[in-house]
Parts: sequence; C-alpha cells; structure tokens
Amino acid sequence: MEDYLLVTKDLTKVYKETVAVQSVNIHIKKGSIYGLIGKNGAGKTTIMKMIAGLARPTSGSFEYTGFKGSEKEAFSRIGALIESPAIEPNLTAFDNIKIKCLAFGIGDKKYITDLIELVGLSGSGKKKAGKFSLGQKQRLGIALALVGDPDFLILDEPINGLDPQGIAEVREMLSRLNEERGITILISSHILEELSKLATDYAIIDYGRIVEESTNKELKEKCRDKIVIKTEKVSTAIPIIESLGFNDYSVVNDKTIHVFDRLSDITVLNMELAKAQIPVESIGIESSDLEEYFLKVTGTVPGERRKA
Amino acid sequence: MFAKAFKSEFFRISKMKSTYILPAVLVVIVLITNFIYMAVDLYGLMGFSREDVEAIQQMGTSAEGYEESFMSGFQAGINSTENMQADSEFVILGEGPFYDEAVSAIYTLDVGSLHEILLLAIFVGLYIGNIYSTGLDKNLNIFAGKRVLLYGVRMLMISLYALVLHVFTWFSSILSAAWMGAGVDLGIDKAFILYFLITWLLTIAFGSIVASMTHLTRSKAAGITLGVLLSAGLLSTIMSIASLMIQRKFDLDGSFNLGNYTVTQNLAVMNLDSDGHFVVRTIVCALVYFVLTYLSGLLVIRKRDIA
Repeated sequence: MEDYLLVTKDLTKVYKETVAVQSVNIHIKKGSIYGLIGKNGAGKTTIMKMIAGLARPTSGSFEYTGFKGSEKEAFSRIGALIESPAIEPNLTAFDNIKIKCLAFGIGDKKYITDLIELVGLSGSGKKKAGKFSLGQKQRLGIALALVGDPDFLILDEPINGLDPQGIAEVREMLSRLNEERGITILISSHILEELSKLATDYAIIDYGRIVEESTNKELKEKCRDKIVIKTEKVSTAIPIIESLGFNDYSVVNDKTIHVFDRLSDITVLNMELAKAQIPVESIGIESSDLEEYFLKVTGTVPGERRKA
Repeated sequence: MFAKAFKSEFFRISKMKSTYILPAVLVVIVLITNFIYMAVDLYGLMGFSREDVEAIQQMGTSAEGYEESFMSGFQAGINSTENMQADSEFVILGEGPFYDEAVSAIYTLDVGSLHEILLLAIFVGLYIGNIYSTGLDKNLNIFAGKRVLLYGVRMLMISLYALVLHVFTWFSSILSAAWMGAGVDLGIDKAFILYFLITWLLTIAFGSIVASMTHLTRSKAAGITLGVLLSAGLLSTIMSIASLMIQRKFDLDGSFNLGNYTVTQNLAVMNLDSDGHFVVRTIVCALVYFVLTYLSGLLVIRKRDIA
C-alpha cells in the first residue's frame, strides 16, 4: 500500500443551493507534488480550504496520516496559501511574517530573514506590503505558508501574477523544498505547462468532481504522440502488432490499444490488421499536451465553456 | 498555545497606527472637554454667581427644596439678565464648574462624556475588521481547531486596550486638574476604585458589542458605525419611544426607562455617589451584555468557515 499523507473520502461542500465540491476522493502520497487541475469555479480552492481546516466539509471526511494526534494537530503542520495572500498592507514583509511566527512560537529574527531571502524578497526592506507588486505579494504569501516548516504545503495558484523569471524561481524553490526538506505539496495552477514541470501526481477536477487522478508518468503517457487503435478484438490484434516489430505499446482497456513507436508506419499497421481480418473501429494518431488533454477530459472545446 | 496567540495578537496591535493615535486623540478631547468645564466660567456666562449655584444645588438635592430651588434659579435668571444688561463686558475664562473638584470627580465627567467608548469602537472595528479585510486567519490555520482560544485572546486584547484608554482618561483628568484646576487632589477612595472597575467593565461590554457586530458582518465599517451610533446617543430617541410603549403596554410607572439597561446610559449617568441599587443594576447589565455578545460572536466564529 502506498504511503499516503492525505486521503479524502467523499469530500463534499455545499454552499446554500450550490454544490461546490461533490464526493471528492484524492490520494496524496508523502513527498509528492500533487497538481490540482481545473477551471475557475471547478472546486479546487474549496477542496484546499477544507483540507487546510479553513472550511468545514458538508459531508465526507479526510484523514492525515503520519501526524501525531488528531487532524487538528495536522493543521499545525500545514502551510497554506489559498486565494489571495493574507497580508497586512500596512506592515513590511518582515512584520507580516513575524505575526505568524509568534503564533507558532518562533521568535528568531534570522528565521524570518531567511524566509524572506528564500522567497526572493530580500530587497523589500521597509516597503509596506500594500505597495508590493502582485508577484511580491505572492512571494510573501508563499513565505507565510512556509512559517513553521510545514510538512504539507497547500498552494492555490501560487504563480499568479509572477513574471516568467519569477515563475521559474518559484518552481525551482518548490522543487528544492520538495526534494531537500521532503515537503509534500498540493498545488493548483491555470498554467498547466508549468504545473507539468513540477507535479508528480495530478487530479483533474471539473464541476466539483474529480474526473481523473493519475501520476505524472501515466499522464505523460496519455499525452504522448501515439497511434490509437479501437477494436473489439484486442487480444487478436496484439500478436499482429508485435509481429510487425512495434514494441512500445499498451493496452488501455478491452477495446483500445496505444502504440507509441514508429508513428509513421500507421498505414502498414492498418493494412496488416485488415489482412488478419481484425475489425478496426478506428485507427489514428493522437497527440496532445497537458492542456489539450485537460480540455478533452473535461469535455471542453477550446474557447468555449460547457454549460452547467 | 494561549501565550503564543497572545504574543502574536499583541504584536499585531502594536503595529497598528490607531493603537497610538486613538489614546492621543482621547487625551486631546478630554483636555478640551475639561477646559470647558474647568477653565471657562460657564456660570458667569449665564450670569450666575458661584454662591447662587451652590444654593441651587443644595436646595435641589431634597424634594422639599425643589420648588424653592426652582424659584431661586428663576430669580437668578432674572438677576443674570439684569447683570448682563448692566455689564457690557464679561470674561469667558475663569473658574468653571469643575475648577476645584477632585480628580475623581473630573474623571467621572470624562468617562461619562463617552469619548472613550467612541474611540474604543473605532479601535475594535479596525482590530477585528482587519481580520476579515486581510483574511488574516487564513494564515493561522494552526488555530483552526482552537478558534475559541483565538477569539478569547482577541477579546482579552480588547479588554486590555479598554483599560489603557481608561487609564489615559484618568491621566488626562489629572493633567486637567494640574493645568486648569485649583490643584491635584486625586480623591482615590473605595468609591473611586469601584467606579473605575465598574466603568471598565461597562467599557469592555461595549467593546464586546462592537466586536460581535464586526464578527457578524465581517465589516469594520459596520462595527464602527454601531459603536459611533451608540456612543453618540443617537439611538436614545428610539429607546425613549420604546420605553414609552412598554410603559403603556404593561402599565408601568413613568420611572421605567429602557435606557437604564443600556451600557452607554449607565456609563454616562454613573458617578461616585451612585447608590447600591444603581451599581448592582449596572454590573448586571454590563455582564449580561458582555456574556450575550461574547457568546453570539463565539457561536458565529465556531459555525462559520474561516475563508
């Protein structure tokens, strides 16, 4: 059995008449970077709020493992940046962090200056946080989330408002935190390309429901260029495929085969299957990046939004 | 956990500009008020001599002397008109009604003027309102399972700040006595200490009302507005009408007044000579308001999502 840090069971949140999140089951492995992908209003933030202890689930539950005591104890080991960073605009970055540090019983000035340096805000000095750029505010939000050296970091759109260099820096920082400190990270982002460079696991959420949960490897496989063969006779088709020298293939289900190598030989493959009198429903090359795959899975045509 | 929350909240308050500005404003307002009552010859302006006033005050304290005092006052009024007509020049500055009063008496005037709770309302509105305008509690998910504790710490901070304002008012009263009065007679006795503590309790209850409103609405404006309305006595007309309606409905005598059961009126009316019945009623009122608003705020906090 996998070593999970967090498992949710039928997590549901209803606001008055609106079902924001419905029966969500996600499994976050210790040490992973778990990407939560979904459109605006899909329910990502609500899930994050519930597991951070900021909102109560209407029904369902979640369980943290590996923490001593109850989930209330686990909350003290969670760092969260959810929605906009919660900062006092009239205070400096240092003072904003100090408020949280004191609540955690941390009185060391160096701890705060190190955090400021870690997120790249060293130059902010006595500048009030209210005058920070959007990117600086995001960095401060990340620094606040890191107070108390959390085991689990929940970051809701942390790269919003950052310039390309800032995005790269944050990505590098999160990777380092994950690798060096073993921090498990749950991250959501609209910039799927960026998320794909970071996440080890994914959940795709649409209209409050988890559509798909997969590892990075599985997802990459799904997004790879491939020949997709749809047939009723998968078991008969396999020997044909192998006899033609295609070695990199996978049987997705009892009707679908994906072939990943020698895409240019699709015609030969089609002919050989026909010769062997294997009824092929469809055969074709599919290629998609994470974004296209996401749109496909959620049934959204680019530029359009599905009706509720 | 309590100590950590206390330190964090204390630091937050120490970084709020209003923490320092409001007591300074309070001192200025109290000094101005006291200047009017101590250094402006209000009686003289009205044409009364101090002797006239003392006579009126002495007679007015007994029911029998009421009519006599009224007549004296009426006569004094006639005299004053004559005097004013006679004296084409009069002086504004001089010995005001509180010129030679002890600091404790000046203090009751200053507390009863309700400037302190007006400023407390502003502080509470800003302090609690900031939690919602900045989303501060999102950072403190460490307390997510211990919201009662955090709420308690914040109420403690409000109580302590109310004490600070109370002490500042007292210092201002001393300062006034030194600058504008006949001299500094602190007048600290049992009655003063009791007055100080009960009015502090009333102030805390008032702070709790404003805090509860701010929590309920998640709006600093709502909390401050309520505080200003209450401290400025703008709801007293409504209270008077409601009192009259209750009097009629339940056939009560004319002495019944809903205002007697409000924090602000008790704070305004209470003085060093208040009788035991008044004091007990005031304490009960303060406690009831505090407990009710504290619990309602707590209930909202416990039930509601942080973000």
